[in-house]
Amino acid sequence: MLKYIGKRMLLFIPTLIIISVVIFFIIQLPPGDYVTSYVAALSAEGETFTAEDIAQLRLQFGLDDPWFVQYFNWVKNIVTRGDFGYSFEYGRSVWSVIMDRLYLTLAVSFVILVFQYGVSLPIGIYCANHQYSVGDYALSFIGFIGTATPNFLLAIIIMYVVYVNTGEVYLGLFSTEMLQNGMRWEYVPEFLGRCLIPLIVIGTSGTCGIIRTVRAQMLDEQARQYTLTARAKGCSEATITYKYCLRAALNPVVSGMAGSLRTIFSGSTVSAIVMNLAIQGPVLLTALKSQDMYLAGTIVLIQAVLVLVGTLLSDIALAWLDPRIRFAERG
Amino acid sequence: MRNIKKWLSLALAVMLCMSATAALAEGATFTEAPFLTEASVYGDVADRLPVASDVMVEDASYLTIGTYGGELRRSAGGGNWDAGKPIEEGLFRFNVSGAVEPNVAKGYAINDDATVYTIYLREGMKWSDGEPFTAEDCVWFYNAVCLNKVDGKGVRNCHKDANGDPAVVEKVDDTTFTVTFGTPKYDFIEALTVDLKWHFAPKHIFEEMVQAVIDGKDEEALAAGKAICGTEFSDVAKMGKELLYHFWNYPGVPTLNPYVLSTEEGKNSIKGEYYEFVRNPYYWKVDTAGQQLPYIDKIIYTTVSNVDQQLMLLLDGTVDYQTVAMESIPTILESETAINIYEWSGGDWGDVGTQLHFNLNVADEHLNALFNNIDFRHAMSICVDREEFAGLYSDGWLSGGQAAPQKGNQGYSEEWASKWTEYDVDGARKLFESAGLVMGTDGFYDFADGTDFVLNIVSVADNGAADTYKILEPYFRAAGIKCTFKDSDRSNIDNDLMANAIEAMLFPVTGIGDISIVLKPNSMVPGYATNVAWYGTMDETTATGDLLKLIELKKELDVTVDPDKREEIALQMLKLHEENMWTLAYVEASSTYHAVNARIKNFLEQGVWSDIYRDMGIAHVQCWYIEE
Repeated sequence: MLKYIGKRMLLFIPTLIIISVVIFFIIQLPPGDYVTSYVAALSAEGETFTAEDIAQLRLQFGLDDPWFVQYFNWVKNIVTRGDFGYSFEYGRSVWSVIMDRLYLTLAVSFVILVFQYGVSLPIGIYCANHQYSVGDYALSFIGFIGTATPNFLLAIIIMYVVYVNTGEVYLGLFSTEMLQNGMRWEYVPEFLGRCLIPLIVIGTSGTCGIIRTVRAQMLDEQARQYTLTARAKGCSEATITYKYCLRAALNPVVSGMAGSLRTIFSGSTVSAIVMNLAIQGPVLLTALKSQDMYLAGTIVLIQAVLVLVGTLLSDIALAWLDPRIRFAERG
Repeated sequence: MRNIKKWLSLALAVMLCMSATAALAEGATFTEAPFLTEASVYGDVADRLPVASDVMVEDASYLTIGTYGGELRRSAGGGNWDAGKPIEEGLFRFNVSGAVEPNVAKGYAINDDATVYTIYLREGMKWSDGEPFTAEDCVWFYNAVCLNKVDGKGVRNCHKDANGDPAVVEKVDDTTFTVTFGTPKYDFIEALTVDLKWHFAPKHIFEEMVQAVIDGKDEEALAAGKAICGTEFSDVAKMGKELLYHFWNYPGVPTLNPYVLSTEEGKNSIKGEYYEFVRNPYYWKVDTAGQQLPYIDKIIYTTVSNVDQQLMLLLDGTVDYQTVAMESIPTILESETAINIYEWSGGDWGDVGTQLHFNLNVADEHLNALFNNIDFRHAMSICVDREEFAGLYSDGWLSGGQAAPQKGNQGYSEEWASKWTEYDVDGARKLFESAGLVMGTDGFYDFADGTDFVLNIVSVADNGAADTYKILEPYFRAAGIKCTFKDSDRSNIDNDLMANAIEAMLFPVTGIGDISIVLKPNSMVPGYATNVAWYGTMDETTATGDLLKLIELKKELDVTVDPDKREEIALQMLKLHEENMWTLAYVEASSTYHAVNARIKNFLEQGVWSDIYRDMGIAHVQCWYIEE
């Protein structure tokens, strides 16, 4: 197993190099560069630029080098100094921009992840055990709504309903008072209320997939010979469901968790913008829009690393969960 | 010469007579916000203000005496000019009548030939950190920062004489400094107010950092910059521009503004989710009752992602002020929150999105002759059904219009505003023919020698011009003009403009028009900017006819001191525009709409939105107060 993990980790290096080149190349692809967006933004505010100013800015930001030279310098600084570069948009180091929102992003994403699995697994099991019942249909219907409705639209609808009924606009996780005075105990109820909308909006988007997977897998497992045998031997339904069927049914769910690490790091993007959540997703979008390539490149690179790590972890988890995979690995 | 002296003496008298305390009520003593009294760390208000005779009184007729306290709640997308212009304080400023008046400066004097300007400052004035503000701060800023281009901008045009040589700025005493030019500079004060505005920086804060930049000690300079504001800059060029040009965006940098960015963690980053500009305890203006301004304790900004969220917060009553799109007004008026809408005019000549510029300096001989033919421009104007186009373009919010000064601005006339706006396709065809075009067998006009004429229009990508073109093109096609459209990245467009490689442009990078051809001729007189599509790279060496006359008039204006004569020249320049119609627009300019929560008082109800007036800055936010 250790050899397998080691081999997989060695493969990370060329994969990451290829990914980073592709990322950097793609970020550079659209016409123009950061200076273009910078000049356009400030021109809109009334500032004027001469050709000399623009050339000077390009020189200042190091954008007059070819993209591969910029890439090489970026990677060199990451490897030798752990320096991910400078964010033009935010005017400080990329790492400090990422760290600014990291904790909140992790917290929000983790809570949403727990919500997704905490809600989906019991529902999936219930639906499998009560196939074609009213409960099965009703819960599947709700799950489908969550998946079929675009998150941002659901966010707008919920925010509108809340606004009409309470007169409050719930934008962001923190109210102006919280931002002004810092978090206090008296703000906790409002904060939890503000968390509810993102939780429902982003959380429900993934629940249906998990519900359907668990339900289908459970039904498959329930029809297998070992389930029949267990039942014939007088095992309780709970044992059959949770000890045998669920364990086997979880394989696709666990392998699906590979992407969760990436999601936890960046959070949602479009929904976060609609709900004005100060998490990583909108930062990535802003960076891409303004061609702030070191910031965008770093975020996407970290996401790529997390996908690779997530895949490895899910493979390890699968091997732990399913003896068949362990034995197959041993040959 | 006698006349010049007369006007100079008059100007001097007027400026110096604008004595700061002239409007202060008799017997009034200076008072301060309870916020400051309660803090009890700032000392007596009279000690923080300039000497009594030099305190500036905000006494515009529309202002009422306000009360202290509260927060002005705003939403924003991240600082910069949006936060800077409303609180900016320059040496001089424009008042609501459009005249320049002393501001940070107490007044000025000029010598007989307008080569030496003596600027007088207010005695006892202080930076927001309590340190004295003196002539040294002004002189050092010019000599150390501008001459060495540490702020990324360098010497502005206002400081250059007719030969392009920089002025000499020298200190006389703590409240006086001089600006000396090699040749007469009659418009220095106006140009300064437009080009540079502030002309000072806190030497006591920046001296070490700036000196290190000048000496090439980058590491030392960056360390000094970080010590000032806590920000780690990537390089000295960026740091110089940020701290000395966008200085209000950084905590810990003293200013003369009514509000300064908070230094408190969590409230001090304009890129953060929330930030505050708090009152400057040493602010140097009072109301006519002697109350130190500003009235409102702080301006708070909540960062949002887009304009829809800004509108939501406005409707919700959690934001007090916002400029809004015309189409949002019905929604705002229907909301339960009491919000007043104020309409301000602007400087654009027609809606910039519908302005069509022909490059009158284009290299191709055929095109050059055609674009310079007034009949061609006339035909291109009248071949569009403006009312139908305006309806489609603006969903019915705007009417058809022309590239002409807006009502209330210098040069406005009804005839000009409606010139060539009558829809007449047959008339357009006759004009195309009189301009030398001949109808080809394909139903489109060709040049007289039989070569195809194609009007190649460009614009900046993603600015909406592509959609506008789709509405406009059928009119041109119906009149017999074959067109193409290409949108391109802004930097490509800039490069093409500088290479004179653009033929025609819709929604130009720099639209024509401003509130004054005298104060900011960039978009209206060839040679004053590098990115104006209608004159491209044209200057006095390549201009001919009325275009050359326009440039010559501007030169004459630069050396004219008599205000009446200056006005006359400016009007002549505008008349040339009216006669020639070098640019076209198809829709009237839209106004700027301010949505202001009814609890905010002293808002300037009728104003002009212009960069020259610093947009919302002319509304003097320090005079606003809250009445629940």
